[in-house]
Amino acid sequence: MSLPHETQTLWTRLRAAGAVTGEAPARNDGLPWYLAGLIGVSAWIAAGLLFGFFATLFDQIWKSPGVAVTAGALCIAAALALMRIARGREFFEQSGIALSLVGQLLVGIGFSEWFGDTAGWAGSAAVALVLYVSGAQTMHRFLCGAVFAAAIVAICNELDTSGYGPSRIALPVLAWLAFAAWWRAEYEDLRALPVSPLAWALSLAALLMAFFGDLEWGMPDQDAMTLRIWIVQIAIAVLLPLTVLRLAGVSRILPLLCAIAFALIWLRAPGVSLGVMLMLTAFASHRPALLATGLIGTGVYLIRYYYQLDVPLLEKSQWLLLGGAGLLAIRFVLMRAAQGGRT
Amino acid sequence: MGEWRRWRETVADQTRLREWRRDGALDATATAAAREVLGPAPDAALWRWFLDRLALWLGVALCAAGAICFIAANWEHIGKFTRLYGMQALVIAAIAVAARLGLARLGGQAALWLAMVLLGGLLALIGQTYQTGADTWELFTLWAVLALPWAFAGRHAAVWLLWIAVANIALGLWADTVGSDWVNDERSLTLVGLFDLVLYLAWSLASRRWAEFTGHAGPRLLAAAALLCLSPPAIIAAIDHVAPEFGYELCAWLAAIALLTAFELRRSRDRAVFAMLLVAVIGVSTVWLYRLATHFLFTRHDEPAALWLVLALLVVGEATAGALWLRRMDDREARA
Repeated sequence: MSLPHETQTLWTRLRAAGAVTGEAPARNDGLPWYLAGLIGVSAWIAAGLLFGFFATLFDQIWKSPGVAVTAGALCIAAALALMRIARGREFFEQSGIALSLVGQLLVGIGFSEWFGDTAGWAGSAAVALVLYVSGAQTMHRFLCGAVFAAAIVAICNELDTSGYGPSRIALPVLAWLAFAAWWRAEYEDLRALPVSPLAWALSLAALLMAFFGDLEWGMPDQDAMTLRIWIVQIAIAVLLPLTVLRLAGVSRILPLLCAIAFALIWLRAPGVSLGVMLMLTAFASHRPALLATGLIGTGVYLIRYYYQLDVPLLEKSQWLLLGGAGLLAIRFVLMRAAQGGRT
Repeated sequence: MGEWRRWRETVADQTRLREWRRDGALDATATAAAREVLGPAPDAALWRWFLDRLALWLGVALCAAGAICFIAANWEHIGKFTRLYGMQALVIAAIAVAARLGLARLGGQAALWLAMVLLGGLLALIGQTYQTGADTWELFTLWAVLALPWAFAGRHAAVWLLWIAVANIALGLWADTVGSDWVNDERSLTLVGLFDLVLYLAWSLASRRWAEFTGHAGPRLLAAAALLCLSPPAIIAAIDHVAPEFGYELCAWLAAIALLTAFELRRSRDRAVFAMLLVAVIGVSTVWLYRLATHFLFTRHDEPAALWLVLALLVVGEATAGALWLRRMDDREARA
């Protein structure tokens, strides 16, 4: 198969510099983001339909956890076998992905019947991680990561009984896990276990929680809640300086101070910190799709933030304007510095 | 644009290195050596460029959001006329900055974008002050009409996308207030979807001639918006009635799918738009097949388990065929 011109050029350049030897390897495209989206959405739809099939065929699934776990384990085993035997054959690989998702769903139902909701979700998270390691297919890994992220949200909801809506703890937990996963993905040796599918799943889950996590927040004990909200918000805000520290290094104090200032300004708008963190990570690690996700996520969050009830509109306005003016001031200073450097 | 292209080239190089390492074509030492040859990525100049854009657009977006929140807060310590004149002063200030910097520069375009948002804020403030409503279709239509010359003058995709968002809301609100039997929620959504489809075609055609319409972002966003608005009504038409309804919503959806496919095949062949089309086809066709089967074949008893299995296999089959088609398109173009 012929190689694209750019690939050949890169290989020739590396060979001339002595970094590589021999001919350029045959073309083997990874999974582009649009195909990943197509396969991912289809896998979820197919998994829902397969679940309908099992639920109609074995009505014992709802009554006996043993049946659910056994059926789930069989589905998972069949999925893994299918993905290994039929590697490279799209139809069977995608059938395997859908089967794996149904298997995880059935095992989760069985576990929650047996051990209760919290332990059931913890079991689902563990199964998802085991499948992440064993199922060597990027999209399968991403979807296992999504199941893991969903289980984390559910566990946070179970443990956090203080709110009426979705737990706020889930957002910092997911954001920290995403931060750690992207950090690891950047330094990973790509022959070892790839972490970026998990990082993607955790980042998308964190953005979704930033968007939906503030719904119906409120409790009678306002003092206790205020403290908890502050802890949660600080936990997210810390991630922005940490990202800048990782990218710019310890020796550059000014970017770090700017990051700390903006983290404080956006303390009550955690989605903005999260979006900026993702955009910086995306640019540094050469991931345009993640950059677009961070950008769209921040934009959508700003619209959602308008309707967030726990921060008064006037206060929102002050912090947003302060953050915006600060960024524009930094741009002005950077431009002046660049012009000064040129003259 | 030069720095953006340079970053995309860096992305392409780094992606190839990752793939070679993943496939075992390079060992860890060779990968490290290759990275050394390619140099630090992104370099200092690229970082400066990126932070400049990020600070400008995020700064402007936050200022716009802050201004809107301030208007909505309806602060009682500021009088009616102070608010109105203050807001007008802000719009004029943003326009003055745009004029001072010039619309050929990014800063001027961003200032114009801010002025467009502030204009909407001013109209909302008038609606709020004189009790004519701050979210009526008339307000958004007026906003879209007044901002249209600025959109032409701005010559930037972000300015046009903002105008399109305002026009979408105006159309949606208008359709909601028509109040006839014919225009229900689904049909107003379909109407907005068709509007986005027309804008997608217009944007794609305009990209031949004007630089601000080049690039994939605009057409992709418009195609996504059109499909997101047209697909749910087509699904609801199948499930929300006693019998599946082969009506206006389904026809509009089918026409949109046919038009988008034909247009993309003849012009840019954007894989992302094709992937969106395939997802929409898989989603809507699955619901319709299920509904048709349960309505015409299994009327006397519950649907059999096999129906679910057949539908699941169909979904996987459709996705596989779609993925293979897109991959072949890639291969053909790589060979050409």
